[in-house]
Amino acid sequence: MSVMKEAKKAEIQMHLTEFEMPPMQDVVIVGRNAPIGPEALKRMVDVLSPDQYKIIRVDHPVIEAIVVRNALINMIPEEKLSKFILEEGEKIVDESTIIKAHVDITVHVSKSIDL
Amino acid sequence: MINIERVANIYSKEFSVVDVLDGVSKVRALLLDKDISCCPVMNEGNLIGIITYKNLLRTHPNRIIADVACEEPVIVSAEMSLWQAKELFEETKSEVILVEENGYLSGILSRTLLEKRLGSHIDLLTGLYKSDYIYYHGARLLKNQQEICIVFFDVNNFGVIDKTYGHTVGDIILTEVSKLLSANTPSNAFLCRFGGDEFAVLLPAHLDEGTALAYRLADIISRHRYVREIEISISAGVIGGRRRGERAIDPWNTMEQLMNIASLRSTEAKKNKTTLSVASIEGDEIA
Repeated sequence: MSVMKEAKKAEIQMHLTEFEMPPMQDVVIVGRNAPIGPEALKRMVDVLSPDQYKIIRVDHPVIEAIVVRNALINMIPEEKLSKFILEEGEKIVDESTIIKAHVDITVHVSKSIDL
Repeated sequence: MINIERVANIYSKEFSVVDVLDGVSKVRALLLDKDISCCPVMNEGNLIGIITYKNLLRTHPNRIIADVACEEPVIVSAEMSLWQAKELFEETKSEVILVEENGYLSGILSRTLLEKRLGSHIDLLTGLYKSDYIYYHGARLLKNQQEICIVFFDVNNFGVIDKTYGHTVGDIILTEVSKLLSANTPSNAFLCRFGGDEFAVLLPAHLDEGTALAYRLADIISRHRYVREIEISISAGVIGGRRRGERAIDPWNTMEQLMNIASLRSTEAKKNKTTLSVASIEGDEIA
């Protein structure tokens, strides 16, 4: 008579990456039925990075609000920036999603001066 | 003595309060558990809104209350009359209002509860409001120093009609009369079934306008063809005037007196077999 030996093994894997501060980038687009609302997002980033983001509530059938880093609004007027974000965001956002976006702004300046 | 029902008599004194950071699922469970449809929302001890079950149903369960569309809190005194509360609900389009007593938040009044209660102030036969509706609006106009006029009607020989043709026929006639009055009363006037075969119209207008309305309504009612070709006519008593300046006298009491005079004038018109008897207030003053 033979005895079966049973053995249990566990394998542990760990991935270490740097915590993103704050955990969102430049812009977050919030769907109307997303699990986290704009107010909750704002409160979260206000705790982690106070006074760096602004909620812009929008009149849109799918998107409830966009949360934008203040630095971007300082570079480009809020209306123009939110119009641009909405135009691009509405192509991929649905009511239940939250999308974070990285926005790079480059300002080109050209000036002529008298010699 | 007029008995005007107050918010204090009907509002719900048992209520729960939620925090702006509470989760939607938690609050939903709370409302279901307590069998309530709404509750006030607090943020660091300050009242910021009211959340209703309807709001919660439309929202993702993971969200916090701060992300749910809260209604602006409308706060009223428990002493407010139910009619005034009704006006406030219509004006603010609220589903629920908060009630305070002695400066403290003391409960909640929902539109549903108010409408249910006001249902008992509606006459079941005619669908018209009962007399306290007129008293409330009359007292309100008097307080605002507006001109008022009361037209009091009663159906001539209604007792005889009831005995001759039966109460069912009498009820049909009262229903038809009330429909004619409703259809022909100006939109800014207030109509009620005062009791039995008596109706009253309150107008925010001069006595002349009330008199003209009384003649017009009497004419419409007498021209109408009723069941079994019964001929119907009405007698009316009209009273009007204006209250000038603030007075210590209770406007409710004034309304009671005015209504009494109007009803006596109506009886007088009936006795004299005339359509109308008018009582103007000497010096254009009431009480």
